[in-house]
Amino acid sequence: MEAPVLRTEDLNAGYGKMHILFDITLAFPEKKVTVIVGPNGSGKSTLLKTIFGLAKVISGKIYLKTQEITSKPPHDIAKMGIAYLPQTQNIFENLSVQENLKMAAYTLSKEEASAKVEEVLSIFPLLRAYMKQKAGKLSGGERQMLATAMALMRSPEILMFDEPTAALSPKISHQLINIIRDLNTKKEKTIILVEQNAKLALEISDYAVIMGSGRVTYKGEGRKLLEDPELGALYLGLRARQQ
Amino acid sequence: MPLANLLTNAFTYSNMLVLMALGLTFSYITLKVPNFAQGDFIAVGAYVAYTSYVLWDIHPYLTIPLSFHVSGAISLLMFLFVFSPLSKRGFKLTELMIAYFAAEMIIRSALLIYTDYMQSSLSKYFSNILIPVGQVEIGGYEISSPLLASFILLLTILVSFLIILKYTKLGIALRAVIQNPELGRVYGVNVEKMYAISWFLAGGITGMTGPVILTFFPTDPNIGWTFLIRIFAASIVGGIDSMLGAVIGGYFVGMSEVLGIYVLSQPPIGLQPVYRVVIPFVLMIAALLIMPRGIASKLEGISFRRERK
Repeated sequence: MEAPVLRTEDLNAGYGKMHILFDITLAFPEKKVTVIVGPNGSGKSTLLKTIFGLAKVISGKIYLKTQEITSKPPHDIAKMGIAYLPQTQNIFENLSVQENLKMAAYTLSKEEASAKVEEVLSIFPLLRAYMKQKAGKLSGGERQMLATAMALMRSPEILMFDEPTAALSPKISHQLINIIRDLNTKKEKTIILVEQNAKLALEISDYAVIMGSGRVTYKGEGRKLLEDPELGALYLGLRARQQ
Repeated sequence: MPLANLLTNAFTYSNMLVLMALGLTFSYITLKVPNFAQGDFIAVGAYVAYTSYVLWDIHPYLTIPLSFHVSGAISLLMFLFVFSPLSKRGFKLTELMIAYFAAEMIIRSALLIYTDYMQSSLSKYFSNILIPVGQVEIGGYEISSPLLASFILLLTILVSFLIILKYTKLGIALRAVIQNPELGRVYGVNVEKMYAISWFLAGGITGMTGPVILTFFPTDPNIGWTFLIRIFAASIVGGIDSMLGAVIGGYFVGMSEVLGIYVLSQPPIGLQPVYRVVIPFVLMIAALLIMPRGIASKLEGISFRRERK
């Protein structure tokens, strides 16, 4: 495995008194797509939130390259080049699309921000037509595109997506997954993708992590899960679903 | 009372109620806890002005910026030393409301001690104070100074608010954080700092009314407490989670109180003017029964309001 850009060491975390993640030791390789799958409540989203400083670390450590970032506040982590896209409420509904992009560039200078707006609009040309419109009026797919565009505003090295295709039609889901793949292949971003739709996500993955009940139950190459029917059936019930 | 006088009183009073309600609403939409000390910022503002007047003979209206900063600073201290530590320990609405009550009593008591001290050391009145400022002549018309001052103040605040919230980075971030603080954090906004700024502004705006009140009403350290119910009535009638609501509610409650008590004090009813505070009370109860989200909620799409989950 390539040098990890982000890793966790014996990470235990949760919310308040709720202990959700148990002894998570993972390494996320640089410029690769790591997909995290698992059933509802397995702690996938909590893992992303913990890395981003939005959940409480009970014990263990998180490193970005060589720097420890455990329990740093989100606004500091955001500045260090990690972007996190929450599953829901990932845009400011009552602000216009333009204001949303401005907000996403909060830590940038004015010049940098306007240059970045042009850059992300070239990736999501669709948004150009909606600049003055309230973001709350966008469709589900457009919202995810805006959220992704916002995540890109600060040129993060690492993008963490929390179930971006949830509640999207299969066609739009494919489009979005392809955009995420392009961010990796064309823009060389490190992607951490939490997905319910395992099959769709694994197709673009380099590595895969399977979680269950707050623990890591599998880590390895993503495609293997798709290609090896036994592994797929064992961990994901893929074959059962296909029959 | 001639009609012109009555309307002058009604508008001056309403302009100031709008400013006070703006302060309360602004602190409420950020932290979702009503600040019971909001009224005391009026008294703080008024005593900043009065002290400057007694000691250095400064016109009360010239101390408005100073009143803004002193009240804002006290509001900020409340955020830093009451709200912030308590909410970090997981205390919720009820405990915080009680803590704000306590803070209110501390501020009011401090003012009472201050006025007592000043009164005895300077041998000047520091209670039931009023600085008459008379009228100004504009284009041949005599206009009451408090009316003009309150109007200019309100207009300045509304226009600045509109510009700040709509066009500045700080304003957009404030609106964003009010709607979705969690997402604000995700995009690198220091949410606590935004809250602190909001509370400074909220205290400052209400505090600015102090110097004007001082030239309009007899003032004492309890004035904030007596105004509190009216500020809440204005915010609730207008819609406590909307800035537009504060403007609508402030005028509605202010006008109703002044004009209402005038009508009720005439024969055949002949009610004593001292009962005027009943009017905002009744309006508030009626609003909660009929229109709990306030008048502004009926004008959806015009105001900006926090998302309801």
